[in-house]
Amino acid sequence: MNHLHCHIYLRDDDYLREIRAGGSRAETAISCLYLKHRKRTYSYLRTLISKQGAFKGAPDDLVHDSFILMIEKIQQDTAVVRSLAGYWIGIGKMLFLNQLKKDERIVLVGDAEEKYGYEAEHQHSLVQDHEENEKMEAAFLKLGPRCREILMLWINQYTMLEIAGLMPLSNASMARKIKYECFKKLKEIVNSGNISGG
Amino acid sequence: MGEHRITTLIDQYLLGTISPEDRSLLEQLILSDPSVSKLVRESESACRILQHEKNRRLKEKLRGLDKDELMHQGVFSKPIGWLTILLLALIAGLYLLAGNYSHTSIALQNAEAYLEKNKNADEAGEDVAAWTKAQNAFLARDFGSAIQHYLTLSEAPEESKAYLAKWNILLAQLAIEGPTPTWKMSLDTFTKSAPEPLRSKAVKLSSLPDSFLYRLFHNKLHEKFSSIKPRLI
Repeated sequence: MNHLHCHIYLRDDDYLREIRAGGSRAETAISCLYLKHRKRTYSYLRTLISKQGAFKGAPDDLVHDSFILMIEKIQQDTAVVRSLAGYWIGIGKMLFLNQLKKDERIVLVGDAEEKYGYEAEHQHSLVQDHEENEKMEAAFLKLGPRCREILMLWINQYTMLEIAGLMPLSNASMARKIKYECFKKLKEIVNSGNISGG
Repeated sequence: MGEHRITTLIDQYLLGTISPEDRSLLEQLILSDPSVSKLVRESESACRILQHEKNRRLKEKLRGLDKDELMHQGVFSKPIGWLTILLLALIAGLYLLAGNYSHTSIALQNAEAYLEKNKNADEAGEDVAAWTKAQNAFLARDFGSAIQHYLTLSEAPEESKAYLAKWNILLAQLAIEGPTPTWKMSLDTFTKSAPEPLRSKAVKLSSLPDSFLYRLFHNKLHEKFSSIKPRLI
């Protein structure tokens, strides 16, 4: 990641706009946003973990998972964001508490700490179904490299024109056609493999 | 509605870029047309796989960024790192200077080699051998033996040779005992009678124990370093 390119994003609004734009703009903004706030988030979540000795998860996973969840929320445009740093920490805290609740290690009482605009009613958790994950990864690997590449570009919201340029393909229509075929193939794999994907 | 239009709507829905109007339209289609409903369900399942892969790749990227940041935040990027290096360099410099002001170093720096100064002299083989022995013992820091050898040579009939031997004896004594009052008196006596350039050297050496640098580096630092060194070893 070139640190020199990150200075153009000064405010949270800039990051939100770029991430929602998708494609390469989003990828750059995501890296910059991570680098901008990672230190603070790590520090906060490490403190949180150290206070609760029963938590056995790694701070790295908590920081990464909360960041990924935040990016998903931003891209789905469902989030009302006051501060991206606070939002990220809030999601991290929520994941942490959900994990503790799931393990029945603590009984939560009213928490008078600061609110970050993302409260714990969401039931995301650090614990994932590893078997299901493996199934999903195996299903994805059944696709050819070209299909994997085009579908990853599509899910990262690259435009068909950008995809055509990157693959490289003759034009956007060709990119759209190949993406359609690849996605159809993936659906067939999912149907044949009994993968819920959820 | 055509298949292409439905596919476009589903794509936008999956990517979260669908407009509210198109979302309503798609929801109506899902309710009214079971084939669209099935298509959406299948597409959602396939999309979750892609989303999972996307997140996995992003997580890998974040780990890479963490690694890069850790490298950037290495010892040289922090002022404390540079300060530590400067401090170590300062201590190393002081250590070397303190070593330079040790009695052994002063003795070795001021020692006079007889053979080099008397290259053209036609000397007897035995005499040369005696000077070589004395000089070798001196350079090997065996100052006790060096004094024994130089004592014999100091009784030589030739004045320059005798003074040279006496000068080296004084230096060897300095290396062993330091500037004791007896040594200072001997040096004074030597200074009064010695020929040049030994006299100038003796004058310079006699003023050395009173100099500021000697007191700083020898009396204060050398002793401290000498006590730290065995502990470090």
